[in-house]
Amino acid sequence: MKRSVANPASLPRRHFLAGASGLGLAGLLGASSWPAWAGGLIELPFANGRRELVTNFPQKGAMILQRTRPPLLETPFEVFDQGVFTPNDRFYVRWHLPNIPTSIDPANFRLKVRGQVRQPISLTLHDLLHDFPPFEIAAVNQCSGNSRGLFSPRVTGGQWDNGAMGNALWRGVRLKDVLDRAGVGAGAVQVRFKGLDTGVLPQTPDFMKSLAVDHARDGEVMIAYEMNGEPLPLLNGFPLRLVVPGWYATYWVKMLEDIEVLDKPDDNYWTSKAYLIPDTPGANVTPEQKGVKMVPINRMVPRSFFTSLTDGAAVGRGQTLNVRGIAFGGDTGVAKVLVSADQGRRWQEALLGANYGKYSFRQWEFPLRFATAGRQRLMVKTVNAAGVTQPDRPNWNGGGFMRNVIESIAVEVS
Amino acid sequence: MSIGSIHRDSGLRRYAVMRTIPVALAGLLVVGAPHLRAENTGSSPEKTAKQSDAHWSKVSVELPTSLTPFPAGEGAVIANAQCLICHSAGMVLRQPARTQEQWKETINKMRSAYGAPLPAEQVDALAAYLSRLISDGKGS
Repeated sequence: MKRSVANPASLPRRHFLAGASGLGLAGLLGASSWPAWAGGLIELPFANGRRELVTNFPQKGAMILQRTRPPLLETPFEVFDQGVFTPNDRFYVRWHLPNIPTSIDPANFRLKVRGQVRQPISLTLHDLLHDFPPFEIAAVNQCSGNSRGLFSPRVTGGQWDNGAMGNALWRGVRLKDVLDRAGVGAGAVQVRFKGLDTGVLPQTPDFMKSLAVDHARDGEVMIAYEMNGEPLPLLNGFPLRLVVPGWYATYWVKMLEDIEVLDKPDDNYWTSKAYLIPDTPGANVTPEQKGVKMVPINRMVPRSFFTSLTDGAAVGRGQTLNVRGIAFGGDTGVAKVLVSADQGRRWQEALLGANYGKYSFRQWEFPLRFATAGRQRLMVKTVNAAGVTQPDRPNWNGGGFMRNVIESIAVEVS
Repeated sequence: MSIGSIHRDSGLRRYAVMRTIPVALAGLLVVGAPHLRAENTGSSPEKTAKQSDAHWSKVSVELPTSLTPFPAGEGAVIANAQCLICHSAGMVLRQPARTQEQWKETINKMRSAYGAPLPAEQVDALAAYLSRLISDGKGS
């Protein structure tokens, strides 16, 4: 893959050229050698992959700029090596519509529940904090199109590397408890969620997503008012966000303000026409394939990554390294993580870190000794609690959704 | 609820997160310890609820704006007038190389799904501009 022009071979591919962390090349060469980009540049491993590292978004540290308006901000991958929970100020950001409220006063905020209910209700944040039992769950939030930039052939959309995901401890109330307060009607079919964001043009459909009633009432889907022990950053959905454990983030509606219980399937644009995947194993088709049945994207699939080594990293011969990474099982827990240093012929089980629940990232570690000099390929895959593992070959679909191919990196042993 | 700073014409504005001082202090007490919190789910709900209450002060921020226009060229006037209504140019400039036909599909989706007021007779010119703008090996 492409390397940055200024990136010496000894630096891994995702190394920051001039990161705000001070780890970048700019620190070695002196700032005067570099143009005045706000936070430096980073080269993602696909064509047209040069991105600015920016620090000018509210409540956010250094993030990879994918789009300014509406904001798309990617988490630099090094963050995932720092712990199993992604810090709020490094958590990726993805908005669909440009009119995002920039000032929110919780004193005036109301969450409405209406539609096919016994009694429509309007809840304050105080109501949510004091009238419902608190509920906590650790869960991965991953964009449907995470890793879209790695699709081949390329597809249009946000050109993410692997950082459109994050793991947080979400605290709030069960959606079931809120729905039960309003009383779901007998004819209810789906529950539709809407946030405060809107389009500029009146013709632009409001961003809304729906879940089946039974899913909405499963006792795990929740309304979060905190992530990692703090209120959500505004760009991650302050003051309330829907959390749908095990499902792609398109359902995790931000700035949630309106819940409508429907007596027929939702036909709004974002639920019925956007975020559709081919109804095939792994959402996998060929670019030429036509007439495939399309269905709304839903459960996540398992993934695992190296975090302590990046592609192209230099390692010493004879050295034993504790290679480290993260994994998640998708819609269920991680059963095991397997590492291969011989092109996938032999897979060895990694040691798993603390278990924060089946929807969380799980850290893994594996000691590897590099006996011979030269280029060596390392692979990692996870098997989830349902026995589902990652495919040997990347999937493809026109939306650039659900990539979860086995990850591999090269290391240079010398 | 106010909706602000969407159509700003100056870039890289500083943002402000306005909170009262006691709340900022309360925030500091829990920040940086998410790992501990994960193992501490048994804490008393009343205590945690009070702590959470302290977080609920008004949040006001400013979002940065993009100053980047579409690069000069035949069709740039259309791109600047139309695409920038709903999103910054960077999203387009960061796409992979695509054919004029592929860009036509995207432009027509912007018209039909999102209501872009782009006249049908400008679609070809805009698609041609975008396919010229991002070609293999360029823009990276």
